[in-house]
Amino acid sequence: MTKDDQLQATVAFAEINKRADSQPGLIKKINAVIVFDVTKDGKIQKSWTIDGKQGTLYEGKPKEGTTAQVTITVDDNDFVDLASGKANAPSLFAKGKLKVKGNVMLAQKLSTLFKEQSKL
Amino acid sequence: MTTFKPLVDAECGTTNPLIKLSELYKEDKKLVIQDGINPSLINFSDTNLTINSDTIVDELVNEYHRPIIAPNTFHLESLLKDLHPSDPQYEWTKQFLDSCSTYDLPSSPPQSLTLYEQNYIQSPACFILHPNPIFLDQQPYPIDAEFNNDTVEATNNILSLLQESQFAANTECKTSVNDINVQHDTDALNENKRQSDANLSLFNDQTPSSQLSSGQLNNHTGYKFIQPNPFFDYINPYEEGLKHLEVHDIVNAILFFEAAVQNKHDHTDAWLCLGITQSENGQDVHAIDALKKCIELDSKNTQAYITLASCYANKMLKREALNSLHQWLINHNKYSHLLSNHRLHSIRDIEIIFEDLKNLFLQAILLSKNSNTIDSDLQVCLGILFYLYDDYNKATECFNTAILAKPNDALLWNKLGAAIANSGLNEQAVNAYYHALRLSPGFIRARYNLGKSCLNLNAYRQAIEHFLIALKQQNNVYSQMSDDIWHTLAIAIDCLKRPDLIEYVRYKNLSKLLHEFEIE
Repeated sequence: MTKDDQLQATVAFAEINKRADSQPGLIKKINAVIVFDVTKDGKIQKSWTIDGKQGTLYEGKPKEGTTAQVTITVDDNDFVDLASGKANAPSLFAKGKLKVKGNVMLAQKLSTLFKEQSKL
Repeated sequence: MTTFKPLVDAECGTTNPLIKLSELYKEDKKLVIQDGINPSLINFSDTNLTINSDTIVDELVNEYHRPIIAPNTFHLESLLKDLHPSDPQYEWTKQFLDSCSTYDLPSSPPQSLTLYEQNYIQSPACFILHPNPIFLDQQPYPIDAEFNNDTVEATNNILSLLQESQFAANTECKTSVNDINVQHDTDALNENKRQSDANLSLFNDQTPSSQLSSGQLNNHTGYKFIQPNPFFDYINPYEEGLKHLEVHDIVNAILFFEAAVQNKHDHTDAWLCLGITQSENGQDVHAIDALKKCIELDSKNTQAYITLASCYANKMLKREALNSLHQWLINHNKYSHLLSNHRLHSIRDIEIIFEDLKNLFLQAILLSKNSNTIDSDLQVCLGILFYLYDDYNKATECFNTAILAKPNDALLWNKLGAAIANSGLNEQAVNAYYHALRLSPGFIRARYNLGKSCLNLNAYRQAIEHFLIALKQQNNVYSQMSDDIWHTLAIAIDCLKRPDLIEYVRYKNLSKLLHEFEIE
């Protein structure tokens, strides 16, 4: 059995944080507060908040005084595909694997986080 | 009340209609109404997803597909419904996709690396990717039926790999920070440094978040040298470095330049070359360190400022990039007079600084238009400015213009490619990268960018080949290969559905991978 108690999303978010370390303006580019509710076996296991206004990414629901502008519910396995760039948000959405509450248009900003940027 | 009787009364065997309706209609009290979107619409249960969300889905899907013009009859949902594993059509699509992913360039076995390059580059027209836009994004779907434990396991492997490299990066960072504290004490504070600090203070941001990011870089004043360096005792390492650049041997050129500056700490040109070459090698942090040293010694070095600006832009450090562009302007003898009429605000609001700089650059361009020449550096500066603010279309125009003046500058072609790729037009970007690589076959960054664009276009095999060649060029007993390239290679291999190769990636077994993909 794999490490069941650890979601793959945890690793994926750690990876994004690492990328943000080497590209300090990365999270601020999102310029929105996006919350991820990652599910496994149909139940929400953990949430992560991407606070584009502050430029931070942390586990859990938004902190005091911060409101989520969009909340995305997605299964752990699908999230991994999303984060690695193998699948994109609209396709997952259309397949019903990704549920969005709030400002749907903001969800497209995710590609900034997940796509590999070309370098000058 | 009697009028409601039909609604409320239960009929035999069915739930009454009103209750059915209320089951469908759920309210989410947490939701904040944004942009006039009615929360009740969005909270319809799954079964009703298609009804009111159609427009939302279409908008989203179309946004992503903007560069690829989808026909009006293109409805993702109905296509998905049509794709069933048991459908005889499925086999065909699977075969088509398999053949597409192995769609290759003329693959005559390369006798030497340069010959391979010639074959590769001569035929960008043969670089045919998925002609049918539908499949560009549906590739995962038919294989959906095969989603099984193997795939999940492979993903697990990759993720654990990435986690490992993250761990490695953290420890590397810690040791380098320790090293810096030692070096910082020994650095002599000279007049130039104070001067440049004064210049920088114009833009010194006091807000915590930016200080954190630029602060990390400010502490990191010590360039981290490769130890041991085989060329340390050479008589004229700088000249040797230049010679190696001529033959596109970036990795050894870097070693020579490092030797040069270690022997002679105030070798401005060597620091400059080191910075530029590290940037070509894809190492922005090292490039920035070297270029900062160059500026300490020569605070008027415009070439250093422009290279710094593009490195900072890659790191998305807006303030530092703007500052570098500003310094370029101040120190440029042709355009610095423009600033005397213009009081550049020392305000924290970087949006205003952007406007000011943009106007200054445009004025400068008008100046050079009068003399009927194109100043390519000026165009690059303006291009970087637009790139910083995600206006990739304007950035593309600027880099294009710069290339008109300097058509044989590989760095310009790469910048053009990057601007085009980041605006989503990966196919066009590929052409620009080929130009860059034709001019400079050892240009690691351009090759890495090319691989990334291939990946974005689902040309996984080609992407992997590019990454492997880049790694091969970087592979040297003394210096390290780029972790970033390994990372992206892992993703590409996973996309190609070759979990058997992940082990090679984990242990960085380059030779096995080169053999597997038939690269000499």
